[in-house]
Amino acid sequence: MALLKAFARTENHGRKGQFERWLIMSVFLLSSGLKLAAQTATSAEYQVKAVFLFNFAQFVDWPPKAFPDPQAPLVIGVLGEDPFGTYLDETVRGEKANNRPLVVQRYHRIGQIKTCHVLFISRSEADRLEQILNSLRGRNILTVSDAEDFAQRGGMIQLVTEKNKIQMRINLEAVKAANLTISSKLLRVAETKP
Amino acid sequence: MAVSLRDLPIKRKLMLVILLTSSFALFLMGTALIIYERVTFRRALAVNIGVLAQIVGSNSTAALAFDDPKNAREILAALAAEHQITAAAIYDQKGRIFASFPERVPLGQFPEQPGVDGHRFDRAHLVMFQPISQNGARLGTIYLQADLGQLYSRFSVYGGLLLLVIACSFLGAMAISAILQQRISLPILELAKVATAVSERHDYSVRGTKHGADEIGQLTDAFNEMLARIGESNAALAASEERLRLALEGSQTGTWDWNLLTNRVTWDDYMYPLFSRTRAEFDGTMDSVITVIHPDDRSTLKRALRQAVEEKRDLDIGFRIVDADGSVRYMASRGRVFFDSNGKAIRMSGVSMDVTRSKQIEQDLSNAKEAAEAANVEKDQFLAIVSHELRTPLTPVLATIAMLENDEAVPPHVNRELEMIRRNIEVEARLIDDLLDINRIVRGKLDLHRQVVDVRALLEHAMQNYCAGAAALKNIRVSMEITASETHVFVDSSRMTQVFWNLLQNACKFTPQGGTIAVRVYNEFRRLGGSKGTAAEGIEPSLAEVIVEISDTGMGISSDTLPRIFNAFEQGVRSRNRSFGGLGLGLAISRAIMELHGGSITAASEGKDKGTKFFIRLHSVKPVPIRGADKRSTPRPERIPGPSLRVLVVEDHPDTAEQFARLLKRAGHEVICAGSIREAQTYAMVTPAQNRTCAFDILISDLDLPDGSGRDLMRNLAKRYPIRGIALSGHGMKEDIQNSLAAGFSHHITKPVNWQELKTAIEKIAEETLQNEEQPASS
Repeated sequence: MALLKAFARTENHGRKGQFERWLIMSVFLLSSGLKLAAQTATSAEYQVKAVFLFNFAQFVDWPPKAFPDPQAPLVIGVLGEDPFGTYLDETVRGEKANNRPLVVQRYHRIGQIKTCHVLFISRSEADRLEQILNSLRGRNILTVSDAEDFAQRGGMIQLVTEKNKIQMRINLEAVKAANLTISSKLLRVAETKP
Repeated sequence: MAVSLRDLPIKRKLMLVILLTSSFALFLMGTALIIYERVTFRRALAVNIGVLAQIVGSNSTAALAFDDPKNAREILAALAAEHQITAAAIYDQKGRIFASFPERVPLGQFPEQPGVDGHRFDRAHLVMFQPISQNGARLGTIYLQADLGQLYSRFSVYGGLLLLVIACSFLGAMAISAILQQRISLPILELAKVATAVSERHDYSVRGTKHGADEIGQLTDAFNEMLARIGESNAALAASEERLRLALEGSQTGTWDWNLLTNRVTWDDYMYPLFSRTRAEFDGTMDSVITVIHPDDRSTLKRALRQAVEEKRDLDIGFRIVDADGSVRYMASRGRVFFDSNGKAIRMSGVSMDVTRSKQIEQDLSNAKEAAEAANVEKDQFLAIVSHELRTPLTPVLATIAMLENDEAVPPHVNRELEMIRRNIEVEARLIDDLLDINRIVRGKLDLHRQVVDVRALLEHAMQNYCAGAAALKNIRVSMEITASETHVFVDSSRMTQVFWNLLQNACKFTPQGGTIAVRVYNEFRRLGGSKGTAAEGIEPSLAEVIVEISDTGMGISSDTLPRIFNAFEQGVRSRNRSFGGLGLGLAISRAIMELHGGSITAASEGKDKGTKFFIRLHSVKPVPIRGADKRSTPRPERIPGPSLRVLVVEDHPDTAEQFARLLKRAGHEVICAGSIREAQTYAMVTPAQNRTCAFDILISDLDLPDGSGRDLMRNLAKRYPIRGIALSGHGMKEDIQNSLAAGFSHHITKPVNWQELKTAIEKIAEETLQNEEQPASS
């Protein structure tokens, strides 16, 4: 089922990697089980991560000034190369967090970020990480990334894949600095880095 | 154990009632409590588990959201502290089991899919499913299963408590009922004891003790009152039974009852000896009763029983009983038949008694009565014969005296002696007549030959014949005053004459020398409707009453003897018997004659020596214009001697015959005497019968002749000749006279023959013979 979904997404948004899609299609059609399994594992990981991003909106409280008005949507942004494909949009569509609709925005540069609440920083930006985090300092944006040592480098929530299981590493100082409150429930299932 | 509630003693009943009531109340309360407890416990449990689910669910949102089952398991493990939770599980958004508790239980024992949200109870558990959501987003479902054992353990505690309370209340109720018995059951128990004493010992003198004025007190009063009544009526019943027993025993009376439907006869104790039967011998059937009865009386008894039933009347019958030894006893039975509402005879009850003794007495009485009656008849016959025999000799004597008195050759002084002799013989004849009359009156055989006559004629006749002479001797003045306008009465002339003779005789007898006798005849008028005694065919009653008053100036009658003078053999003062003679029968006979006529005779006297008045009252009637009566009863004062007749005198008494012959010859008749019928017929039939003329005009014959009755002679002669006859007889009763007239006699004269009477009869016959001879001549 998940495979079909992924296939459908690929079809809808696959303008960029047409060759890849063709490849996937051909591989799928010409049948190579191992290859297909590897492909599926990668997309399943980001599927879960998309759900995690959505769930962060549930377990984190933003100060009121983070929103221009009470009905303003909660914005989930992706900075850099988008690894989710259509998964994130699929997950968020129609959902709400604290009565706010969820909106996904994609940024290539830091300057593009206006109103944003959850920002996923792609691995593609790993080299400019300190610069990005510095520019976001003082803003009420929850930063999430699966980049190496993201929490140690000043990020707020680092997604770590261990034993096929995605774990969270939270930098509470950074969170507090951004004037955000993380639910204790979330903290219980996460690893905190002071 | 099989004793039913109603047979339990009241003590137990009371206790049972109290215990049942309290137990029932406790049971209800306990049940209510348990139900309430169950409801509230379940509700509380549901709430508690709900809260628990909420908490656990809320805590596990992050674990679900960030796919951390380990964390979820840790959260569930905390439920171990809650003993009642026996199982718990968390399902993820897709309905798969995410985490479970306790971990040792295999997943197969949990529901594969989450159920409907909410809770439900099964037999031993509460099962609950609740959603797990974060900020309104459903993340999964929590499942909890709670054990209800706690509830049941609580219930067992409650049950035990309830039993304990019931046991305690049982003891308490027993204690209370023991106390209440003093108030309620004790009086009842006492009453029951009294009642038992009464029924077992029949002692009605005991009384219940009253403890209060409640219903039991009233019951005690009523019970005591009832005992008193029963005691009284028992005593009365016993006394009554004793009386009845004594009465039945003493009177040798037995009672019996015959059931007509079953034909069974029930006897009381006294019937057995009465009917000479033992209880073993009597089998209670009517046939068994009948066997004791005298064979001759059986059909009578059966008929009487049948009639009593069929005709609905009481049984009253006598019959005989034959004892074993053959002796006969007389029984009397009385009984009554009882009918049901449809009129069907159902039973007959009655009494039987031995009447042998009274039957004997009755028999004796009957014998005595028959003997007395026979003696009486003999006496009457003797009296009749005696008086007849006494009178017969007087007839020739009287006839001889009459002849001598008329004989001019007899010297005057002898005439006076003859007069005296005649008077005394007449008195004696009258006395004998009176005796005969009284005899007739006593036997009710005094007959009247009534006809309409003028009472004046009778009076004049009586005065002339019976009074004038006697009065003249004593120089008594006799006056007669007639003011009555209606003087006809319907009477027997000779009997009326007898009454007048008696009264005039008495008046002469008791009036001293130179006194007066006044006879008055007057009428009194009475109102209509009171008339009696004159109702005869062709006789028209008048409104007037004829009163004949005969008053004298004699010795009078004292007021104390006045009421008795009309009784037979009473003669006022006894001493008078001697000075005046007579039997004292005259007034009694007179009264009887007057009463037979429907009239009356009364006497009045102002006292001694003030004279006596007699009143005779008769109903007057209208005079009847018929020949014979007046003519016959009215004697003619003066008569020219009649024509000479040929007379045949038949009389077996020679002296009497001789006397008649002389008197008749003196009167100018031809006389032949015969002593028997045969002799008379010889004389009479000297002329052939076809001549239709007889040798005699008149036959004067005694009736009692040696060779037959004078009536046969008369009948015989009358067949052949137009001869007339006068019968002479010692018997003067109605049938005697009728027989004589039927035989052909024209007259019947009772002996002793009054010459005057005989002469009158002869004259009348002569007159009629003359008329008969003249009639054909004139035509």
